[in-house]
Amino acid sequence: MTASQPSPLRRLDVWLSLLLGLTLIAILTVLIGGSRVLPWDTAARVQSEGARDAKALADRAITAFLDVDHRDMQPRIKAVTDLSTGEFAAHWETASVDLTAAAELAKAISSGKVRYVGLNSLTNDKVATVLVAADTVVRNTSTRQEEATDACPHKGARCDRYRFLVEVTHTEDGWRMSDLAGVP
Amino acid sequence: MSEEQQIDQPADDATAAGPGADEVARLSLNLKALPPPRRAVTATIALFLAVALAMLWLLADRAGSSDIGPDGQLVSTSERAAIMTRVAQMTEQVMSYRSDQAEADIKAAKELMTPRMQEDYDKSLPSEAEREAQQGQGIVVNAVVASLRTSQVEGDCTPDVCAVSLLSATEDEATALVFVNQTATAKGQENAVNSPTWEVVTVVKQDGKWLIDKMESP
Repeated sequence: MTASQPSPLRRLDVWLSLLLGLTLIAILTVLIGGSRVLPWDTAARVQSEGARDAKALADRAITAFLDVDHRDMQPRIKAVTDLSTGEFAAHWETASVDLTAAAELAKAISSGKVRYVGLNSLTNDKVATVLVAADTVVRNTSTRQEEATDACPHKGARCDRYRFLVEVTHTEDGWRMSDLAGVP
Repeated sequence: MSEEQQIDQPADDATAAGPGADEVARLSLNLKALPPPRRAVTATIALFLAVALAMLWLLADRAGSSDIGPDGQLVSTSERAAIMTRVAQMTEQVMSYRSDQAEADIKAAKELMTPRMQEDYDKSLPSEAEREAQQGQGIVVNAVVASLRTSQVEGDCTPDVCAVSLLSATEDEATALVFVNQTATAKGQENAVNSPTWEVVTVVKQDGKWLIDKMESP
């Protein structure tokens, strides 16, 4: 071996030092970043993302549910069906016939604005119970004489507040609404 | 060179005859100046690396099993349920009112609030004259968090039976959406006035206790 060639032991020292340096950087990264910097899915990350996605689906589903226009109900019915699953979806399709007839009879037009979506529970990252608070503006044959007020600045309409209990379930197609009820 | 010539050499030529005491001392110093054996250096680095890897594994494991999500939100089911239960209790107490025990009810409600909330609460209270008039009418306002079951809730208002949910929650602050049913009655009035509503309640943890910091019905 010539004087210019490093010994095997010296090369090993260099590699070990490099690894030590990288490990120290990794320690600092985990100390500062916490679970965010871990390359695998932690239970907390899965739950957090599940909660966020479940709430987002509930928001979309209630907005679709409150959207009624007697002049064109089919796409509105389908919008709710596409966001639903299980027995609820089947029940919705059945009930939509009566709902469409009632909307056409009352010449109903309504739209809703979701105000708040709160997570009540999330079980096994698969089923979530969500509370949704929503405002609606409803126009139909019985609201034509309504005057605009400070509380409801829409002439010919009625303003309502709805409190919903929404169950959402994680399916192969993502989160879907699996049950819906008003909270009395 | 003949032996005689060797013997006749001057005394300061003694080093040429082989290592003497000075030479031994010089070599000893050189030996101490040499770096430690390479094997010891390698072993030391390897030891530090092993310790660092163990520390990294422990930190990653602790971070991975944390109850805080990447967005800083609390994910522990039990802790979230405990917050919601407490918020439901506080909301019912703060939104209930007995005109004949107004001062006691107001005092008890303010004990559940931060100083900032107490100021807002004071502004929302009826004036003393109005409170006296209400006392004469025997007005009672009873606030109950709406039930998620068909039957009335008995016992603690926990999130599995009561309409309470979290908009956000960290270890020290939480904002809840609560569906509340307020019923107002007055002496001599047959019908009660029912007001289903929702409240957005923000609580903060101070000295280990949750206090209401903001409450609105937007």
